[in-house]
Amino acid sequence: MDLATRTVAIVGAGAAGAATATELRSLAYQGDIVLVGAEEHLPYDRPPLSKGLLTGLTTVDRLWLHSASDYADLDVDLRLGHEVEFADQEAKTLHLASGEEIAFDTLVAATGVSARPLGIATGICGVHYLRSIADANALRSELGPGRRIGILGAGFIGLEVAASASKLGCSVEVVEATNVPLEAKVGREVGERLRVLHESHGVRFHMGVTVVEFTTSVGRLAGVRLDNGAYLELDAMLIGIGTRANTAWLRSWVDAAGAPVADDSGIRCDPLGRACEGLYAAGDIAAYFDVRASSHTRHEHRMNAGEQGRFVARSILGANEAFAAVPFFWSDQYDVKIQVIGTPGADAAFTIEETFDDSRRFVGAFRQGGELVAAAGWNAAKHLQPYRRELQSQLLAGRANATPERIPH
Amino acid sequence: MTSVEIDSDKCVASGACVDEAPEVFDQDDDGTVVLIPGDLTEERIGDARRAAASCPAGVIRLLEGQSSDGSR
Repeated sequence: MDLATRTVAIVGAGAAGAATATELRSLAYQGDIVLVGAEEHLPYDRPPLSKGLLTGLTTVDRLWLHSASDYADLDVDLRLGHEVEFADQEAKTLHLASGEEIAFDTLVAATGVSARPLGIATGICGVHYLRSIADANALRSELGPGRRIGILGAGFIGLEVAASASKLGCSVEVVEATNVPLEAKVGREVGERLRVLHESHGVRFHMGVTVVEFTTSVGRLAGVRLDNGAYLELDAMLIGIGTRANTAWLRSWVDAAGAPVADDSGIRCDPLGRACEGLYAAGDIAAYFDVRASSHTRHEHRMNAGEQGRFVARSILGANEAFAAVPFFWSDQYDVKIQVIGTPGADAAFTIEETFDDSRRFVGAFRQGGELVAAAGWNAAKHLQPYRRELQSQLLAGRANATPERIPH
Repeated sequence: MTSVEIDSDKCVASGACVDEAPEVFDQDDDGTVVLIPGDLTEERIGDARRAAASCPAGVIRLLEGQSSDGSR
């Protein structure tokens, strides 16, 4: 296979797509690279959208992952503002909404996810989702002293926006269907502490309830009714109730057995990041087969986007090593930085192992049958390093027993 | 001469740089990246380049001087 005369097309110009492009060049790939993005912006960093960009701590021009000249220097053909309507598996051609076609030899899907829309909120002015710079700009215009902001969903996006809105003087109400914020991601204890942190800043929580009705006045959101009968008067609401994978353009793709490779839940990939012949995926959209969990798992975190983006570059160029990374994510809320390494299972026992500054900062461990499965830090980033190393060495030990050849797709 | 530039305001304290290049980067008590003073050997430049690629917040940038082999 003559790599020098091939074209790698990367669809999705976010962190994962940009990482694939730059890593291919770092690995001395000489063929063509086309990076197609639906937004007009250069590839940018999304975590600040719910934080610094809302509060004014950062600005859009600080979000670019690389400058336009960096891509030119790397000979990456950037096609921004282009939606891919569909990719033809047989003809190996991308069909853009503009009518343009792009031929490729290898395709990388890095189109990420969209916010899952709530049907009963459709078309209501004052209802917001947050995935893009445009979304953040629209949401920011709603925030200010005295504004009544509702948050539906106490996940990362919801809680980070709640903190940003609160900082800007808004009156914030959080509505969440479960009983503990972020429990599935950070465990019960850290989740409860997060709630207390928010409450100390005046945020009110409505837990274990859902919104049953959106009311409007003169075409704008006026409030929401909850299933416990309560009514919240609101000026605006952010909905953060999960995501769906942006896979519509790949729906006709099938694997060797004739089964579709992509649906709303993502693109199913083997541990090499490959969905089928000629198609790789990276980032939020990609569900890699996880040998240890024995299932396909997706990680919607910034760290994973970069790791998988670089990883598929290596896979494309012939590396035959299963993806192995310890999951890592962080969240900044008020003056607290929460970090989690590993995957806290629902039945893992959590214990705080070290505290600092009169327990204002701590590191906790999640253990299952005595084995470390995850660790969480509360303003204790540096102290997580030993836990990270332990989880990484577990991973390397596990990989020695699992070669890609033995792994089911 | 290649040099390393950090934009610590953007640092999210992931520690990824310390994993990749423990002789070039450290974290302060908040976890924010700190550049360890010292000469950048070829090996450290390679490590720092990997650290820049693995940073989830684009904090690290290598300013390439006269590249020795003229490659990318």
